[in-house]
Amino acid sequence: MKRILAISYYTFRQNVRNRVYYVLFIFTLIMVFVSMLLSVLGGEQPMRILLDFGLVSIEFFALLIAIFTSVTTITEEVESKTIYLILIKPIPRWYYILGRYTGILLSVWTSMLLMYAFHFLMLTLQGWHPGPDYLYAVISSSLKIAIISAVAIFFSVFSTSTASSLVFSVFIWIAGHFSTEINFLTGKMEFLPAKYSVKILYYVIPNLQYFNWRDFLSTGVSFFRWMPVAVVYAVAYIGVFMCLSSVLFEKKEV
Amino acid sequence: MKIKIVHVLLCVFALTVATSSFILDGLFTYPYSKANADITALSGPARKLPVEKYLLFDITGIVLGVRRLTANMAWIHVLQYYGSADLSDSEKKQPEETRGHHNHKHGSLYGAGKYYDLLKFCQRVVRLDPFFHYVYLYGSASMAWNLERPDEGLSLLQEGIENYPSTRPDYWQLHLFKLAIIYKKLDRYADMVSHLESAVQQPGRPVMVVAILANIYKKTQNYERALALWHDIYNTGDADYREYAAQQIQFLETVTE
Repeated sequence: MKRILAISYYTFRQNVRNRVYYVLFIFTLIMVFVSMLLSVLGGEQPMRILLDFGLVSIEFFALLIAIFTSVTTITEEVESKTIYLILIKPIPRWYYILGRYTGILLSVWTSMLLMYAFHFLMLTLQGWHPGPDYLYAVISSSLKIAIISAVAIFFSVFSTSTASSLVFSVFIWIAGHFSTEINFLTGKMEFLPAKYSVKILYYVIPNLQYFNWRDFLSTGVSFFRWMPVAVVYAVAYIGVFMCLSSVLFEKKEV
Repeated sequence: MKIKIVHVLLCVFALTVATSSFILDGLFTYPYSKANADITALSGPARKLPVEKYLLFDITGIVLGVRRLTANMAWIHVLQYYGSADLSDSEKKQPEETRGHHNHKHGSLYGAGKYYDLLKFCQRVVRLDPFFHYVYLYGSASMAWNLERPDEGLSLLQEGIENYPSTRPDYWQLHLFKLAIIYKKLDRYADMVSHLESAVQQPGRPVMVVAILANIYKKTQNYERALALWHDIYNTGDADYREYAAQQIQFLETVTE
């Protein structure tokens, strides 16, 4: 456990010292500020625009940070051979994967927390009355980012090129939000082999709509209706990708 | 082959994913399912996204899971469209002071025009987000009283009555607006005004509706009530109305003295 934490802490420090991390972080703060200007265009609905634009911006930039760091961390270490400094020590390889993942997640969640705090402050200063929905949106977005980071780590181990890992991860992100439509399409299909193929795809790709609470804010659905099970689903999904990454990394010649 | 702890964990996690997926299939209800079924309907009444020009943009928003944001963009578009000049050729030739004067903006060309696409643009917003209550009220009031097209206002309200959850505390406002517009169509002026009076007392009502009622009172020489309403509008601090409200208050105070 200590060794995993050491790798995790090292990754966290490495990430927060990265220039890209800062650039994206500052850019998000600017975007949240821009949303304040955009909200003026919303007539008598400025709070709604400020809220939505801020939540989407934070999630989007957190996604960029998560995918970018997850995809580059391992690949760069393998290319620069610095990975030997860790792997020559008597630690199982899955420690390394888990340590890396938790470190990345910690750094992304830290940046998200700071961005949400800034956004929340801006909303409150504008006279917004906070409700639990905001907290639910933060929790669900964080889970989404945790899943996509695990997926990106998997692709970075699976693929030798950073570009392809990036593309695959972004594809999973898009397809994950498309899940409801994929399920809807299977209901319309009559050709059975195609129907079942698409249905399998629906279950294999992580359904990110479960965690898209920021899009369901005014719909009146209950957060607790599916979220407790969705948390189990997220943890299990992350577990699957961590295990797959570990198995692949075990077999990988570095 | 040696079975490692990772392999065992992989099986456990995969089983958990499968089980939770099946449970979630039963628990999760996509809140926009009805709207999506309407949008994707290949037959039946025109329920698809009404503005083809923005179809790709709107569908992309839905697919990427940023539906509310896309609806907000569409809403800003409505305000930009309705807040800028939309002059037919014949109107452009008229002197500015003889053109239709509306209650929402008061710049030189603001609010001048017929805005024939307003219904479509409002429908675009509420089909992206059927829970955007304010759009039903704002759009229907604009079409019914400012643009004198009550049927279009009614059709937007009808969509709200069908799609907005009837369990919400503000649901009845849609019926209130509907009645007011119907009374307008029937020329039952007193009934219409009493319904508008109820409407303007509600939280979340568009300021524009208060302005509409104030103008109706002014037109029927009920200056004291008009003055009170313009004071209310002025106190909302809405930048779009503040200057015009000040002018109206000045005028009405002179008249009522």
